[in-house]
Amino acid sequence: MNNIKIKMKNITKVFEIDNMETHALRGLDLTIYDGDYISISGPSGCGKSTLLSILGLLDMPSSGTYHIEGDDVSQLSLAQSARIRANKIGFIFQQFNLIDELTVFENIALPLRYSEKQYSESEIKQKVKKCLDSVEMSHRTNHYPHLLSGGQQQRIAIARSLVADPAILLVDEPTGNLDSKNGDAIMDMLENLNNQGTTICLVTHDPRYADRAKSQYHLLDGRIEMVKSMLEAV
Amino acid sequence: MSHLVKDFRAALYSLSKRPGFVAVVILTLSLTLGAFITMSALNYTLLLKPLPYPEQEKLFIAQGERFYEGKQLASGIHSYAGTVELYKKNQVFSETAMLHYEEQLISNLPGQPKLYTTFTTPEIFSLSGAKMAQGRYFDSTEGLDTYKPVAVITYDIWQQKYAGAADILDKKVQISKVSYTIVGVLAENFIEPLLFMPGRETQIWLPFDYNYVDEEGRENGTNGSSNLKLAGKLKVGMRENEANQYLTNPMNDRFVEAARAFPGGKGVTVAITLRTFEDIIIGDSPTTSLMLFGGVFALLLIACANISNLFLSRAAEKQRQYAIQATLGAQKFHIFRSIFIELFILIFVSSVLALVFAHLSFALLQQYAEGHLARLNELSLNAPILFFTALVSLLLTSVFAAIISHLIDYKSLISILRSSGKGSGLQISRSTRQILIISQVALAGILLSVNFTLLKGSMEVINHPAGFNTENIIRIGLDASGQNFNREERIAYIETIKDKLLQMPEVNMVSNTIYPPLVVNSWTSSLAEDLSASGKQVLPNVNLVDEHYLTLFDIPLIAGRNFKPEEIRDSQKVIIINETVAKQFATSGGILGRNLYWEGGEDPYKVIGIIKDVNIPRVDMVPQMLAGRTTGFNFMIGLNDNHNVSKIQLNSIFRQINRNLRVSIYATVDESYKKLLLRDISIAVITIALSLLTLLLAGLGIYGVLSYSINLRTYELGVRMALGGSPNLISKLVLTDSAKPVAYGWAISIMILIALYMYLTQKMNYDISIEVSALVVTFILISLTSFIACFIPLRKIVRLQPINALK
Repeated sequence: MNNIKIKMKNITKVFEIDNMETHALRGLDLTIYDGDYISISGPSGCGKSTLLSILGLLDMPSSGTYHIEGDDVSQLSLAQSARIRANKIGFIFQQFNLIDELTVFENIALPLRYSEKQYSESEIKQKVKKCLDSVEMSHRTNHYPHLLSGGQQQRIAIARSLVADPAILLVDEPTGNLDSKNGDAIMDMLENLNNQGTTICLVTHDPRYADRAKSQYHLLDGRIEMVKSMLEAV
Repeated sequence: MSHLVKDFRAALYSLSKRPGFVAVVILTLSLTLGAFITMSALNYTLLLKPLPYPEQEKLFIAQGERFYEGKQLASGIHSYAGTVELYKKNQVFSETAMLHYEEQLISNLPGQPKLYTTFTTPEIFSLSGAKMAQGRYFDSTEGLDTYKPVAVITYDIWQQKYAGAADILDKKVQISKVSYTIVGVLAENFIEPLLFMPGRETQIWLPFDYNYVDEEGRENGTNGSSNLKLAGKLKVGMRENEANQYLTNPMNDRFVEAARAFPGGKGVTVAITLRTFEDIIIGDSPTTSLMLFGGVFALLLIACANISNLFLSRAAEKQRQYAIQATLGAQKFHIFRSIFIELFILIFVSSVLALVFAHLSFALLQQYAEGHLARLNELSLNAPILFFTALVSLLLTSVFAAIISHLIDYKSLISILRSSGKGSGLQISRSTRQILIISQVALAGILLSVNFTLLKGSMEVINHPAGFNTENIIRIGLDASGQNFNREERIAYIETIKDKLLQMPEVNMVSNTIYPPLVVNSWTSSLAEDLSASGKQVLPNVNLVDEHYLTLFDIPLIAGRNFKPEEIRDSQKVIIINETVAKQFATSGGILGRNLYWEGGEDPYKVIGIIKDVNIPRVDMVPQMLAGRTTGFNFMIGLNDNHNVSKIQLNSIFRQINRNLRVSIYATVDESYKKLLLRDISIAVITIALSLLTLLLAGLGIYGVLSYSINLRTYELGVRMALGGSPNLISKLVLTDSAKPVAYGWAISIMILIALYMYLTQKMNYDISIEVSALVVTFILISLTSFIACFIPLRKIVRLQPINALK
């Protein structure tokens, strides 16, 4: 049995807008194991983004329990959740979200600088270089993001998500802003990473890419169900 | 035209939807512009506007100066006989006038008020281009030695004291025994050349013959008085140096000859120097007025930086509307016209309010700064000021329009809609934001540092202990309405007055003393070690006192003893000196018990006591000597706590003693002392008000720019938070980023302050120092203001769940 990386139980999320309650998640259970590659898909407004926000500690659930590598992270202060994000979670966004004023190197180094572990400059250099190599972008170290193409920017974003050796990669529509050629290349890269042991949770509405995950979940009306699992199939 | 009206209406409607924006712009601009107009008008009047007299550049005062062995002893004093001789044998002026400045009780006016009277020869009126509201001014038949009792009054006196009576030319002015016929009323707009002292405006003009200098004083060739002036218009072709020679030679010859008669006159010479009316009237006012101008100019710049930011933010906010207009066919010209009209409305309203504010400021200055600043009575909202305001308003409108047009690029406007909202849209660029912050901090830094330096100086003066008691003491002087007493009679009256005063339950002590300790330079004399020409000489202030003076004013003796009653009664030759005099006579055995020679007299005066120096605001330590003797009708009355005696009460008592005795001087010592502090209190109030306004404006400005910048960064900060940036780290990052322009601004203000300091001390020879404490306070205040301005918008963001910052 693989180690459990993420365990969510009975998670709900209620938004109150103009005195009207909207239930985005309704008692959701989800377990992700070490080395998993899962995809979550569903129609617009099904709660994909909300789930990803809670998974990534960008938002807190209204109720339910959430553990990452055994630690309870259901209700944390802003500072505590930031610390865990820096150390255990790697993000890849649809809009890449690189910071324009920082070089490629500095963008990738950000999670290390935010980490409570005090990395030395040489350690940072070494880790950033390793990640840049893995996405084949070493020649762009000192460039600024706006000089890069969309595909290149997303590769840098992937490098950034890997730099702090996170427990899990949370990937939000990584190909949404890319053409199909670049999109395919990014998906290949994710698959390779998973093959090397990285745990990945991918949110996408594109069934073509959802199919490439080992387990595929479908989200509807705030509840989740597994559609297909390669592990089970094996 | 109709387009313009429509645009005008549209602008008014659009502005009415943003009352907060409109209020901040108008309030900021009208206040700062109003202050700027006020100070521009003041400086224009002081530095550029010619005096309102015909051929004003040729008008001079012949100023007497006295020297002792080449060192200047006194300035601005004349001997009476010498001045009259210069007037009679005038060689340098085409027209010349003598003036004697006094204050007199007018006995035929209700309440017998004491008014400023100037005794003059007729020429002063033509020299100053006087126009009359009624009657005429003095003519040549009323000149020197004609003894015609006529008077000219000012318009204000006509209105206030005679209720604008139509038959004013039939009325008389009664001063002691002389009744003067009023022959003229000066025009309302007559501006007197203030040659005696700032703020002292003559109320009644009388012929020179009747001045109150007695026979002895008129003949004395050595006594000097600063109340006497000789003015004139320099002859065509006469140079100033030449004139000085013509005037000095006879005056000095006469003086040296007269001075031979007494030992103290040895080695003293006199000279006459011409000084322009402008120089005398304006004095050192420009130092203050230029400093105030610098202050309000910096404030206006801060306000402009603020308003630029507000206008830029508004333009950024309205970009979509402009884009729609452009897409629908509006040309560049149409868009700029609408922007310009909006600017014009705001600046026009602000300018009108600024003029109202300036008008009020003129009145305030005339009321409170009279005597400290010259030519205040010439300030009014006249055509040049209206023109200047229009010019400044137009300039401001153009500058703001240029700044906004720099931001809005017509071509990119059209593309905003075409790209259906993608892209970052219109933003105030990072460099513009940085410049706005740097300039505000730099200006505020300079302004606050200078303000705090001035404030510190003033507070030191205000808080410095006087060194003598000022409370519960009234100073009075009595006038005997022309009745003369011999010495015995006078002493008898003084004793009776003292007794009567002491019988009043409110009074606990009376001292027959000329001056309270705060009066300086009214009577300067000489004290010498011996009678030889080479002996050490000191020039102290003299006061005649009795044995109660030191007790009443609580002035401590540091050596020796007080006067004894019999020493006062018999006018014994004993004196008390202050520490400053004692130090100047610093001899090995000490000065106590030694003899000194007073004003060249041959009888020695024994020093029986040394008193502590008192502190007079803004006056360096003054050498002072007290001679113990009965003087004239001058008294210091010590009151019991919480008691007071009125002038009316005193007058009724004195009338019982002699019906001619009236109180002519009545002042509480405490109030007189506070008057000496008035300048410093004004500086303190002005600097505090200016500092608060600076902090408020700069604070609002920095807040505006920083909150705009931080809000622009919300998404970026959200990304950083998503990547694990904790609230503390994010706050640290934003604070550090925001601190950079603040630090640059601060560095620039320090550099400018140092340059200013070097310029003022080295080139202009001002004696000023950089107050480190003022810099520290400024630094703390600006840092704190910037921190708060940064923290408020930042707190909102770091309290968000990261997902909300990323929306």
